[in-house]
Amino acid sequence: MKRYNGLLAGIATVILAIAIFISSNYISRSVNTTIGPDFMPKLMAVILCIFGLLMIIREWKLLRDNRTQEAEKTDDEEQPETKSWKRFVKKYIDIIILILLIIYPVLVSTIGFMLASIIYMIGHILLMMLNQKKRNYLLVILYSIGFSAVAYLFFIKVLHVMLPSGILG
Amino acid sequence: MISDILGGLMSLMDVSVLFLLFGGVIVGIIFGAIPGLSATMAVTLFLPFTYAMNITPGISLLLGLYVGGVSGGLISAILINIPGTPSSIATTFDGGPLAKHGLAGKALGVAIVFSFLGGLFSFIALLLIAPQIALLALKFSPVEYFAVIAFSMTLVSSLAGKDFIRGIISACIGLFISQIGSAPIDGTVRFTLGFKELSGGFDLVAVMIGFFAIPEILQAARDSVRNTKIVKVNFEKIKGFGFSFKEFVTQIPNFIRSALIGTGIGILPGIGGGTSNILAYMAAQKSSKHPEKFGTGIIDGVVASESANNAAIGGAAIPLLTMGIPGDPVTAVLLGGLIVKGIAPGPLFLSTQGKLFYTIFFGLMIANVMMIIAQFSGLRFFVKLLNINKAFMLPSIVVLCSIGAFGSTNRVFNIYAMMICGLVAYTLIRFKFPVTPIIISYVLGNMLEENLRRGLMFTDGNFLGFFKSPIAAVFLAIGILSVVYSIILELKRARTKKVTA
Repeated sequence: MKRYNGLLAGIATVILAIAIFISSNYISRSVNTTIGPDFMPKLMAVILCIFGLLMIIREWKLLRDNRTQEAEKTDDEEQPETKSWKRFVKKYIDIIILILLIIYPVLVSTIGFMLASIIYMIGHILLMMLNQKKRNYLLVILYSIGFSAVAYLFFIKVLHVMLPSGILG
Repeated sequence: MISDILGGLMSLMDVSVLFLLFGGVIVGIIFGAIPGLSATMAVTLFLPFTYAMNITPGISLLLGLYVGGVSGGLISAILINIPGTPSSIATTFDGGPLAKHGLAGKALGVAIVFSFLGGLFSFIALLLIAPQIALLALKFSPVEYFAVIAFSMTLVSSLAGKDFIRGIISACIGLFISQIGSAPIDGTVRFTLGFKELSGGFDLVAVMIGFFAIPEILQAARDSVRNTKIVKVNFEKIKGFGFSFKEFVTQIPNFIRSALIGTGIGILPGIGGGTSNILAYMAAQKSSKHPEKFGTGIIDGVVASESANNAAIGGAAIPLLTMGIPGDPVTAVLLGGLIVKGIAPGPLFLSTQGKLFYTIFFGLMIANVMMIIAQFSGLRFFVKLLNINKAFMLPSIVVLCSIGAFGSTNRVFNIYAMMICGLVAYTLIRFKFPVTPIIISYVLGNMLEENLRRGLMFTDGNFLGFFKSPIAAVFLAIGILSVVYSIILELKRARTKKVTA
């Protein structure tokens, strides 16, 4: 699967280039200039497309010559995991954290900054501690509450930054 | 002019300003020392908080963070062989081996002293060269500006990493991101997908933090589920400076060459410490009488790298202040900070804002002194920080980044923007695209386009007219040559691969 990374990237690039070019046509132009606001995007889309195609050609050639690109450092230095859900989480941990990162602003706008930060931090810290044998849950909870509270108070009181308030402010 | 010089110096002689400068240096060193955090992140994170301050305290904080951040990288580069910031990558080449052989004290001492001297060299260069360049830039038309910016961008894209094709694609992606929002000159809104909040384009803070911090966080998450051993660092004091006077003297030629490279790279728009440290290292190796010793643990390598990365600071300030073109990502953030205050750097900056220019100069000088004192005396403290559990540190950083992103525009939307930029950056990194061209193209994109369009108005739509200007012709020619050179290299590589199949 990793062997197709380059090819996928090339194809995605070409698709992006076409999308940019097409949507550039919808940019409104003022009447008198020869070079309008659609010029740079279109020029750039063309360059992007050319290089995307070059990439596809190059990757295709490499695949055809049956050689993978510089050997990938094996990512499988994990301990053999017995529990399957843990195995799943460990494999996709970056995507899980990414989802958590996107949920965080959602929480901030709905339940307020402090509560959102506490929940987010507990989640993120625990996820990062999956490999640790000893997990001090109390410390994690206390730290998350403490840090969020201190940050919140500091930024509101001392620096007068306005932070979204919700249930707990 | 004397009144400007004195005025600039006096504006710093205030307890709160000096406190911010010093605090900036300390926090900067911390950000620089911890791998995953960088000088750019530090400056970007604190930028929104300077909005409420006056210009002198605000700029002092940012300058302190800059100087501290660039130099902090040497600590982890030497002690744990991981660069704290991209500016210290080449420091690991010899710094790591030196530490392994029990010579960490010497490596650290050398690195700190020459960081200080490299910075000093470039600040004096700033003082002396900036007025000349400002005079030159006064004669610049959009044609010359375009040529300089295009030259920089092609240089970075074509030389970024081993993959020329990916470099150009990265640059185009960066350009595209810069095109989201209002177009230069006519203000037409582009590519906002209906989001009103994007009509001004992506917020600089959201993009910078998104691109630099988020991928690190995701990568750290992946590392945390691996069996990577956590190395605990211990370090005692350095005896004196750590190295002898004789060693110092023998390094002087190396230092001068590296500082020149650093300052020069800094002057080139968009590129700074991250590039200069590696180039200086390579140059030192080539010029050395014993090139084979590089990489085994000689101080020459550390001197070259650390002189160059700090020298890039003063260098990067030159185009920023004389042309309004950022010399590296950090100065791009500083530019944003100045514009928010209603100050637009450019050829007239030195004459209309002379006092501020000297404030910046003296600020950098004082921060530099604070840096060397802080590093030597506080080393144990900084080393302890390297041992903090990332599981606690990184989520805390995310919270702070989110406050920063929010504080920049007072909209939660900006936090989303930051995460989306992070997602894009992480995806690109996983597909092995270089990040540097993206950032530089994003930072310079609008200026590139504006000057291209204005330049074409000058030459009545004829692009070849750009070559009528000697300065522009030279820069454009070099830019084109670098692209051609990279294409040739790439073809050669493809050919040799086929032969060895």
